[in-house]
Amino acid sequence: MKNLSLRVLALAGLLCAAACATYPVNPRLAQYQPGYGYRFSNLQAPDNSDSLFVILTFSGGGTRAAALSYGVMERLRETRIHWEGKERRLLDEVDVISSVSGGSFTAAYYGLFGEELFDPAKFAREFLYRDIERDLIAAALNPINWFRLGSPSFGRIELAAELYDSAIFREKTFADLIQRGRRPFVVLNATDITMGSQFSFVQDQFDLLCSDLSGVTVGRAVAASSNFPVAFSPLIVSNYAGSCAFKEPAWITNASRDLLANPPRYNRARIARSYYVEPGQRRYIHLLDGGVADNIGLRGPLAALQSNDPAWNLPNKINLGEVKKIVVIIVDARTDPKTDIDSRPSGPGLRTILDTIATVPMSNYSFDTVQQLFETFREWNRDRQVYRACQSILKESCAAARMPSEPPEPVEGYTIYVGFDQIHDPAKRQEFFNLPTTFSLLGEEIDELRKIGPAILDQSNDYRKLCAELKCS
Amino acid sequence: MEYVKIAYLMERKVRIDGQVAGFTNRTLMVERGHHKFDLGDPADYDPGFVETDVQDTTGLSPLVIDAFRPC
Repeated sequence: MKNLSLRVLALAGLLCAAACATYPVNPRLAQYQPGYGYRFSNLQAPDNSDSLFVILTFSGGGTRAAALSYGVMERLRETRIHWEGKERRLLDEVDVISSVSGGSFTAAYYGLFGEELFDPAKFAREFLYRDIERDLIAAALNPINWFRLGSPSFGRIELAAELYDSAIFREKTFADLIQRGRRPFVVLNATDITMGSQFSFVQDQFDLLCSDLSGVTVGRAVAASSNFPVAFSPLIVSNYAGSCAFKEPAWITNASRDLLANPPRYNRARIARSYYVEPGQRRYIHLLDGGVADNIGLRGPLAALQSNDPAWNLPNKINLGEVKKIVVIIVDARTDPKTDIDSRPSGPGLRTILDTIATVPMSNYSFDTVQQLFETFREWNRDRQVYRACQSILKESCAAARMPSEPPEPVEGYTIYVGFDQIHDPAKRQEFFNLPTTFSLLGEEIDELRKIGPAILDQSNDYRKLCAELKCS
Repeated sequence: MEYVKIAYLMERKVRIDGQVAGFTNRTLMVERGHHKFDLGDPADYDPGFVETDVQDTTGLSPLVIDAFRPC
C-alpha cells in the first residue's frame, strides 16, 4: 500500500512537471524608454577609439564555426596596433560582434567574460573541446525531461538553453552584459520563422515586443541563435506589444512610405511593425537558427553601414566625423561537402533534402551579402573620387572658383573575408569544407581550425593593408 | 547612398528621423528614401522640421535644404 502511494505520488510529481514545464518567459517591459537596456549607445569604450570602427561577424556551423572565430579572436588579441598616437591590441578596437549559431558561442562568451575567453580552463574546456552533443543527448534521455517535453510550451530547444546557461554561460543574463557596460556590442541573431527575418537579441528589437531583454539569459539567446531546424523545436519569445507605451521610431514611419523608392528599407519597417501593429496577433514569436535568415551574421552590420535607421549606424557616425576607418572581418565557416546526390538517378533522402534546404541556398545568399559590403565601400570611394576629380578640373580651369558644396567626410573601408575558399591547397581546402557542422569535433580538428583562421586572415589583402597602416606587430 | 546639405545660419547638429546625424552646412550621407530633418534642441528655428524624399543625389550635387530660419 505504501509502495503504491509512493508510485502515485511520483507519477503525480512527474505529471505536474509536465503540466508546469514551460519556457522561461521573457519579462514584460514596464515602460518603453529609448535609452534603457542592452544597446550600443549604453556601452562604454574606454580603450577603444570610435575613429577605428571594427565589426566582426561570426557565421554558423556548430563547433567548427566557434573554433574558426576563436582562432581569429586569438590573432586579434596578439596583434598590437598604433592608432592616433596610442598602442593597443586590435582586439581592443572591436566595436561590434554580430553572430549566428555556432559563432554565437564565441561572441557571447567574449561579451560576458572578456579575457576569460582565452583561458584554457574556461571557454576551451567548457565549450570548444567539449562534446556538447553528448550532453544534449543525455538531457534528452533523462526520463524527467520526457515528461517536461510533454508540455506544449516546453520544446527540445529548452533543454539546450538550460545546458548552455548552466554549463557555459553561468546563468548570466543580458543585465550582466549591461552591467559589464563595455564594447564590443554583441548581437546574437536568430530567425523569426513567420517573417523569415533576422531577430536580434538587443533591446531595440525587444522594444517592439514591449519586453525587457535584461531578464533573458544569454544562454537562451545563444540557443535561439543556434536552433537548427528540425533537430530542435522553435524557441518561444512572448510578445507584449501594446502594453508599454511604445512610441514608433520616426524611421519606421518614414520608411513605410518607401516601397518603391527603397524596397529593403520599406521591408525593414514592415518587419518591425509586424510585432506591434496588431497587438495580440503575434503573442508568441517563434525563433529558429539565425543561419536561416543570414548564415554569416552580416545583414545587420550591412544595414548599419547603408542606412541611418539602425540605432547603431555608420553613416551618422561618419557625418559627425567620428569614424575614419571601418573594418569588417567576416568569419565564415561555410561547408561545401562532397555529395553523391547527382551520381545516381534516385533522389536524396528526406534528411539530405532537409540539410540541403537549410544550408545550401543560404551559402549562396551569403556570397551576395559579402558582395553588397564590397559594393558599399566601393560606392563611397567612387563618390569621393568623383568629387576630388571635379575639384581638380575646376582648379585647373579657374583657380579662384570654389566647389558648391563640401566633400563628404573621408572614410576608408576594409572588407576582410576569412573563409575556407581561400585555402590554396585543394586537398586541405576540401578537408575543412568536409568537417561536420556538429557540436562535437575531434581535438585535433579544433586545433586545425584555430590555426587556419589566423592564417587566412594574414593573407587577406585588406588585412595586410590595414596592418601596414596601423603598424601591426 | 544619397547626400543632403542642410543650409543654416550657423553650425548646428542635424537630426535625421530623430537621431543626431551630422551638422548643418556639411554634406551628409543619407539613405535613399523619405526622411524627417530637424535641428534638435533648442527649437529656436522655423519650420520645426522638414520632411522630404531624398533620391538621385550625388556628393557633388547634394539635396540642399535651406528652409530653416532662426526665430
